[in-house]
Amino acid sequence: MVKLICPRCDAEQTEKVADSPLKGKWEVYRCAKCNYVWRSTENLKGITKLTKQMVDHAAPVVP
Amino acid sequence: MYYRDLRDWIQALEKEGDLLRIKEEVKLEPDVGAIGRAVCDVEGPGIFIENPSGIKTPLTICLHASWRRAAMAMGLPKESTRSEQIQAWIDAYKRYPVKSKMVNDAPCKETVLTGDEVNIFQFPIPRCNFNDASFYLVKTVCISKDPDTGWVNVGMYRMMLLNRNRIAIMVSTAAAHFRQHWRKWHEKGKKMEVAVALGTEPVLPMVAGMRIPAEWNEFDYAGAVRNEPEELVKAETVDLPVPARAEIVLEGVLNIDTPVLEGPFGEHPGSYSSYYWAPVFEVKAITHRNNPINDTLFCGRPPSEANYMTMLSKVAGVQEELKRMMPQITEIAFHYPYLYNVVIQGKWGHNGEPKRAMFALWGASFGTPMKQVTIVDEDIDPWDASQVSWAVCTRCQANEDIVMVPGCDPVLDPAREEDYTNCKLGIDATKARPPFYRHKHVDWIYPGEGTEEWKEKILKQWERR
Repeated sequence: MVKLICPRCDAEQTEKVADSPLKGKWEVYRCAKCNYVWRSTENLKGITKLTKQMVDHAAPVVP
Repeated sequence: MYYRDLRDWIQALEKEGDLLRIKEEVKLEPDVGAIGRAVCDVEGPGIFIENPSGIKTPLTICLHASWRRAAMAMGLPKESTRSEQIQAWIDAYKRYPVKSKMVNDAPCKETVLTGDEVNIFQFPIPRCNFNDASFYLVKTVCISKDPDTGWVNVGMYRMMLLNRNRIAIMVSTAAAHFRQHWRKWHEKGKKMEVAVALGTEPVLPMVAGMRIPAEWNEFDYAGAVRNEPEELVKAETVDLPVPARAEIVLEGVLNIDTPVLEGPFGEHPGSYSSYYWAPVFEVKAITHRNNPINDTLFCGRPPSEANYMTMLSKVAGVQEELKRMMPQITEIAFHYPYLYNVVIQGKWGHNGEPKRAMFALWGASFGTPMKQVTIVDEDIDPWDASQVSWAVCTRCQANEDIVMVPGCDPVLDPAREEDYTNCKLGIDATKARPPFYRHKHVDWIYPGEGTEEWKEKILKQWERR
């Protein structure tokens, strides 16, 4: 089986999180590292890649 | 005139010829976002997508995406001007509260799903802008409660799907009442209960997207707007009231123990948001009507549905609050890209008052995101960009009349500093007043006597040509 790579951060830690309710139309995947979520039917060529700097500058949302 | 629920609203739009049903199969990406963009570009009809790819549940989008539908949603004639709509929001302040009623008949509970049955992906939830980090719930009616006083808040926050029962919630300003509630739950060492209604009657999301005074209940304010109480029912698994006729209700708790990377998301300033470490909404139960409809909102480059849906209510909210603080304020207007660009018109008595109005705006509960404010006199129409620009050029000297306030809460400002602050900009484009007359007491050159008559005569004769 081919391992899916996250289109945004290129991590290999991805998991399938859903199938389409009507069978066989699409699946949904999530990157365990950066939380990017995508559908198997999407064309994601050209997506903005996630860099370490972007993550380092993410602001906390706190109570 | 009011609408009891989303279905009632859809029916009314259809009757008005302001709803388009798309019967062909529509891909959630990229089609739904493209449809949203297209409708907002041409102020087109609301859209009912009957056949979203892979899902039985239909999807509506752009139901609020025009000034005429914004008026209709409030029960006003569709031709109502923006000023009339603002006035209707202000009038509702005076009627507040129209107390909501708890009812037994709750279609939102026709189906109740808990445990492993909970799966948010059973509903059509699209990625509307290409670089959005996930599929987002946007037209959310998000309900929380103050654990000490019982004050119920209803807000609208973007929600990023993580998996079938976990959703990251982004609440962009610390001033949000939702975050005030959350702070109290957190201090007690408890997880805050949250409910999110999707697909409600059309006033509720408009009210959820505005800011009314703290301790006010948005359900009771929505009732005042509609002149009819909201119908509520106690949620199935949490101690919160929810709209009884909502299409879908998500119930659960907010978990901050393991914040997750959230964003970017195509936000209402017309650019992608930053990244955040956001809390997670753990969905414990989903209730929905039989054959539910999901209603979503198109957010993106202005004008987007987000602008049509919440701009005028926000103008009304700011106007109400500021006029109480400074009665000399006569009118407030938002300019492109709306929430970041505010014009305050007033009848100023002293030279310091325009600057006081700037700080009143930034200090108001509504004012946090309002980045740039221009103050004008009574003879300038605050909605007319040409007149405002004229006042800035003729009644303002940059070395005297510009105010910059760094270190402020940036909310969603895409140009914010790295420490998540931004700099507010105030422009005093008013005439100087005695006793300190300066150079800038410029008046318009008003049209000479007979201009209007001549205009009419010339146009008439010109038509004949």
